[in-house]
Amino acid sequence: MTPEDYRLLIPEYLSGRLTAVESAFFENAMAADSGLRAEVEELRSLWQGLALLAEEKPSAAMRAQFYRKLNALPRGHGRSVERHSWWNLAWPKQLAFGALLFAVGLFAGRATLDQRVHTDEIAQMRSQVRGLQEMVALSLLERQSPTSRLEGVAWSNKIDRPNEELLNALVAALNHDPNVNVRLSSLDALEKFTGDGAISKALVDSIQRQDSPLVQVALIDSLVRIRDHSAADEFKKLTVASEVNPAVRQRARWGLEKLTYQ
Amino acid sequence: MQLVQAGDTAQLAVLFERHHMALFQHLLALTRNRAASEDLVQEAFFRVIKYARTYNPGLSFPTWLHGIARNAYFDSLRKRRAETPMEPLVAAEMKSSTPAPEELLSRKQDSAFLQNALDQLPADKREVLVLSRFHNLRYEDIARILECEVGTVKVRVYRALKELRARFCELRGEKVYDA
Repeated sequence: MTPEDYRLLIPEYLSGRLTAVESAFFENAMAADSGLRAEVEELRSLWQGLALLAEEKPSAAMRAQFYRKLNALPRGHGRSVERHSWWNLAWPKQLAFGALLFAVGLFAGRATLDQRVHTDEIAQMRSQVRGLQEMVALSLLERQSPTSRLEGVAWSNKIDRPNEELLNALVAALNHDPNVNVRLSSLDALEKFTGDGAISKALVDSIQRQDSPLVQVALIDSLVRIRDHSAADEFKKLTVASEVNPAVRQRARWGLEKLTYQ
Repeated sequence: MQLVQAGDTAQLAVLFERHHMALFQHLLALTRNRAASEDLVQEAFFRVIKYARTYNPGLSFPTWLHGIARNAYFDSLRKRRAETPMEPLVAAEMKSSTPAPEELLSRKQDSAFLQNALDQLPADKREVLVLSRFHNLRYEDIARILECEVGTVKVRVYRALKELRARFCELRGEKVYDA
């Protein structure tokens, strides 16, 4: 191999993708070529730095939009789907929208009577709106239809600071919902609140409760993203558990490496 | 995917949950526009239904999906004009057990420079770095997505990394000495 050929192997060497034999040849080449050695070290810090960049995530609205479109697929495309119109909305949403319209009307009326709207009144309105959103989310999370429960999770994404009851409902959905999509969406929603130690602990505890490899991998990824080092023990258990899906074991090894060395 | 091929489109939701994040990041590397990338992610999944019959179960689904997404991106380019660039990312949050303020500031600055350098790369170089570094795809899979040879992927990844380094050093005000 030419020196240029070895240089082309640098990214694979840094990502650990070379076989043992290839790595040995590459390391021999590095030992004999100080220029190659120097280049590997320069690119190594860049390669590691890339892993530490903030992960780009799509907005919660994207998921909601996707599910709306999926639900709107016409019959005959496969499984029948729920169609939504105002009149078909579940009563919690009708109640929530009605109450919101009432609150807006009340607000507008008060504002025209008294131009100086007090800060505490605005705060009270916001609190009421948040309370209504929480009520809608909780109600939808209890529905029989997985699509409705998914909408419940989507509603919870609209709330900046959900109350404890809603957070507990999301954790319960993550651990016990029979539908994998609902569990995955709940995890996504909960990840925003892992600054709360109780929530991040719930995610760590959830790993052993899961029977779906999909959800286990998603939990591992989430805990690595938030750099929760307390998850390392759970990852270690997964790497040696013979009954665990091989893909999950591999991801757990990756997660353990990420948490240990970065 | 087999269930989707059989007409059970509700199963698309499972595929969406599994793959939408990686797809979004790939498309963002191409478009540098969040809104366009979100639209393209959804477009890609609905094209999965449209082209389900052409899916070969012997092929990795993510590879096929990323190829579909790329085609959707190029189709969209034909329809619209210039891309609207996105704002550079805020520097990544870096945790350390005992960061000194100067060290923390320096790390944050380096992360910001690195992100800016990545944003400045041409789309094809940024794309191949995202696929190889962030998604850990094998070069064989990347070659299928990009519709090129594995050797071409190796060269592109290496050159992308070199150019990234050059731009990063430039942003830091350092000279680059090629080894």
